[in-house]
Amino acid sequence: MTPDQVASVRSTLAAIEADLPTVTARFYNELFARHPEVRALFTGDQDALQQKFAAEILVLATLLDKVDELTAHTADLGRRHAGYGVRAANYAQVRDVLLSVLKEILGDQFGEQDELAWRRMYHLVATAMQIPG
Amino acid sequence: MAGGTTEAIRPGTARPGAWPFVGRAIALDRIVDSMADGSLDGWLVVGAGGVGKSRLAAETLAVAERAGRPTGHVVASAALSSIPLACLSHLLPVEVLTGADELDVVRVAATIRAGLDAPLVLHVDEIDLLDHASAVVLAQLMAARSAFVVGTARSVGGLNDALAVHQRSGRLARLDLEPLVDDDVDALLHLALGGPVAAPLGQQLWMRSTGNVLFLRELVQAGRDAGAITDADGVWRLARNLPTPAALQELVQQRLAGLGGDETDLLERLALCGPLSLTDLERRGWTAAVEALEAAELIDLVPDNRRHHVTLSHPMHADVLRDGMRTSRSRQIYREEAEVLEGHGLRRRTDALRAASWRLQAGIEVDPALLRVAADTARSTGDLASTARLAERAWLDTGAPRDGLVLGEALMSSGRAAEAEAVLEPTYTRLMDAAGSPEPPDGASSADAPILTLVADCRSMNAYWGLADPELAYRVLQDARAVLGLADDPDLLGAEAWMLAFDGRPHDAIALLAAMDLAPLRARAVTAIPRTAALTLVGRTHEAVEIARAGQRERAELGPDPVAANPRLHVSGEIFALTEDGRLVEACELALVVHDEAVADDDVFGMVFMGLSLGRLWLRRGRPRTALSWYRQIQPLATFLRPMHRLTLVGIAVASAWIDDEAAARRAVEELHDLGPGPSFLAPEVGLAEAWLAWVEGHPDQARAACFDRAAEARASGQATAELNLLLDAARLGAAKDAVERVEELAAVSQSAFAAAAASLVAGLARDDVDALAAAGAGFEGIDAQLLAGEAFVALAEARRRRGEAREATAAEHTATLLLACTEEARTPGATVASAVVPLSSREREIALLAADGVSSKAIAERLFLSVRTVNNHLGNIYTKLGVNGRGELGPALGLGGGSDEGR
Repeated sequence: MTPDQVASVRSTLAAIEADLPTVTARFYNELFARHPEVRALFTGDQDALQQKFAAEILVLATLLDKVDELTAHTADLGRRHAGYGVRAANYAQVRDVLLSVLKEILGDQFGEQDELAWRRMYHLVATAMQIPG
Repeated sequence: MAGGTTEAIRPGTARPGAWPFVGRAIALDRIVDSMADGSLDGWLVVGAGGVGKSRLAAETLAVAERAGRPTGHVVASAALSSIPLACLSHLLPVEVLTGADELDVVRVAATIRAGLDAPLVLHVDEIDLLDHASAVVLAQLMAARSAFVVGTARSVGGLNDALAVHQRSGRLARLDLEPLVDDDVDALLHLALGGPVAAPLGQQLWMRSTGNVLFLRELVQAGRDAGAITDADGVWRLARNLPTPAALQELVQQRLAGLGGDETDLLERLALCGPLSLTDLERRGWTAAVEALEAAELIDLVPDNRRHHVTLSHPMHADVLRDGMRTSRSRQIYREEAEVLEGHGLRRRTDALRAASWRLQAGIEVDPALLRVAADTARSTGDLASTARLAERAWLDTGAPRDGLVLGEALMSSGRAAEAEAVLEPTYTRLMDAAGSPEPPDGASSADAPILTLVADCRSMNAYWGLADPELAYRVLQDARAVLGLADDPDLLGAEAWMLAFDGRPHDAIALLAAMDLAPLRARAVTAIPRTAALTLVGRTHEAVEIARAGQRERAELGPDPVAANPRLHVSGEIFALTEDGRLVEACELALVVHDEAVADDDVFGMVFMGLSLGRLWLRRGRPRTALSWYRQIQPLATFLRPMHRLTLVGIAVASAWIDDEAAARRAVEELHDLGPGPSFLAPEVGLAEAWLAWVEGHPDQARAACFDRAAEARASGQATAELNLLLDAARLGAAKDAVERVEELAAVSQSAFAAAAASLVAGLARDDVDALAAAGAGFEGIDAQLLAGEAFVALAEARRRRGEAREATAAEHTATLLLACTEEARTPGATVASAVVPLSSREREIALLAADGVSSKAIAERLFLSVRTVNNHLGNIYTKLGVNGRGELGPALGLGGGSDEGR
């Protein structure tokens, strides 16, 4: 990611921080609507799941320029996801849903460069989560 | 050389300095899933150098290791492929490597399997460079589900047949690895550099690397070394322009050029002879160089059982190093590394194989005993090219007759007859001189008598089949007999008789064999095939069948024998004798069984002989389409056996002419003429092809002339069965009167039911003799030769009609129609039935309507409570009365409009 993209992700998050519960709820609804088969991977309390997702994004955004901390964090996250049965192909499904939900909620505020920045952020995190070991 | 520190290098568990594994998660999932559920036996990972193939394979092995599976790494290379199994040698259990005999690939694979408690997961680098024997072992392990192979290659165009077959079976899948996409490159740089990357730098690296991981790594390395890529405030930026090599190779060259002398030396050794043992390298004083290269991320330390191996981090580096090395330098390295390995006393034969392959590369002498083992191993896998290459080295070094024989035999079997003669001639001469002199020269003695027999046998075969020089072939065998003082040596006499029989001189073969003492079992076993062939050719077909059967028993009793023929060839002889004896059904059944066995054993000779026999049998039984399908099946294989190739083309020409495929018949005859002169089994029968082509082209006179010309040739050489076949067809083509006298002479001395029926047919046609024609029809029908039987009944019907015997004529016509309905639309001149308009009976009409509606004979029989045979009899009558050729024409003939689908 470029430094500009890191900043772009952080400013988007600042803009939606108050609405984050709505965004994550929307995200999961959309994900399960488009890919019913992945619901089985997300068991447990849905509210807690959404809160956790929102919190993770906020933490990850702060670690984008601290790669050692980022990879320590994603290694643990990746192991847990693999344990739930999440496969490589699922990461792309989640990315597409996340980007389309952000675009839908933010409208014009979510321009092409913002979308690229989020896409790169997501890819970086997903890649780090899938590093074997 | 680096100073000798004794401090051991401790390799980590992960590859030190490795960049994160990026962009291949989905590919890894696919491979790992197929490994876990056993749905595949492996993958061919194909892609450009530096794209990440080896890394994907290494990550697959890491997953396998975590799952508790045994793993292994094989690096194939052009150098190692010069000795069979050398690149697999570290996987081979010691017990298969201790004997001095050939490394039999089946046993090798079985022994590897026996040592495994779970299927082995194997990474094979440059799998397209594997030698044949190694490929066969891998294919066997995969087929037994004892190995899961991840093979990497830049292309699989040269993939070994054994693996290509496995790939076609669908159990070895192919994965094309594309360069990384921009998102992947972005994430990879971020993670590998440890922070955000400014846009201009990221853009340049993406554009320049085009997603090639190795290129990207080398660019970053070069950029950092040159101070072009810098870390300022946690952000990576471009301080000035990146170095500008045109290609990855150039970049690698520049990087390697900056290394110290010891480091370069070690890298070059690894490029040619890697992987090398870490312990050995430490003992040889390379510790500092290993540490420096590991820090520079150019080599990896790979654990392998209890040892560690040092290998180049990337095959691309090996390529660049090899390309930049002078020949004198690479030869020096190969020689030195071979000597180091041999200095250990070659604890394992595996080391011996590697050392031998390096010695070959260095162009220095190799232990001949080892070369022999290697040549025999290659021969046992059918790898003739490697056999010849290895045996040639042994022969050049030793000049030993045994090596000359192996080389000559491999060259002969590869169709390199002149080269084979260049080896076999001096080998033969030397043995002959030795055998003829009281004081044997060095290296040969009278104890070489058996090898002289083998060399004479091989040289004569090569002279006969390869050089098309029968005179040389006979002289070689006769001189060897004379010098050995073995006037009745069964091997040499048998070989000569075989050649005489195949050469169209069956009486000479019989005379030669008659002088032999056939009391000993071995003498009978090794001469059974020529005796069978010669007796069949002269028409003594009953005796021939008996000898062929006895020969099979004798051959089995004899057990393993270096000279006696493949037992399947004995059965071929029996089938040929049965065919000419007119026992067509019996011969067909036997040939089908043996053909299946040959297919199961991958025995090309067996498949060709059986396919040819079946084509010939179905032609004789009057089924040209079935015959054609057999001939076409073996046609690609038969081209390697020239005399058999001719017979295949003859069969194709005749069958094509019978079904009115003039173009195919002409192509076959043209190809026959293009083959030029040369020995050919049943050579006169080429006349059959020429005759039937002339007939289908509308030149019946030429057709008859071709038969008579070739029949004269056959007569001159005493090939009675071929002569009879030619004269029979001359009669069928309208020249019965000119053929009858000689046909009757031949039949009188023949033992064959086929010959008897043929004589009746020719006599009946020549003399308008209804009794003879009736006898011919019954005779051919009795041996299931339906086309010939049909032709006899057609002729009988016409003869009866000419005599005004209308009722008998119609009866014969009905019989003919029934017979000809089973001959796959063969349109020989004698097979045309004159149609008569006769109203159908009520039962016939009922059956005709059902048949026109597409109901099968079996279903009609069930509906009308009749036997299938009765229904078919009725159908035959119906076709005759309506003048139609089959079900498809029934509808229109019955006034029902469009025809129904034939054969429904």
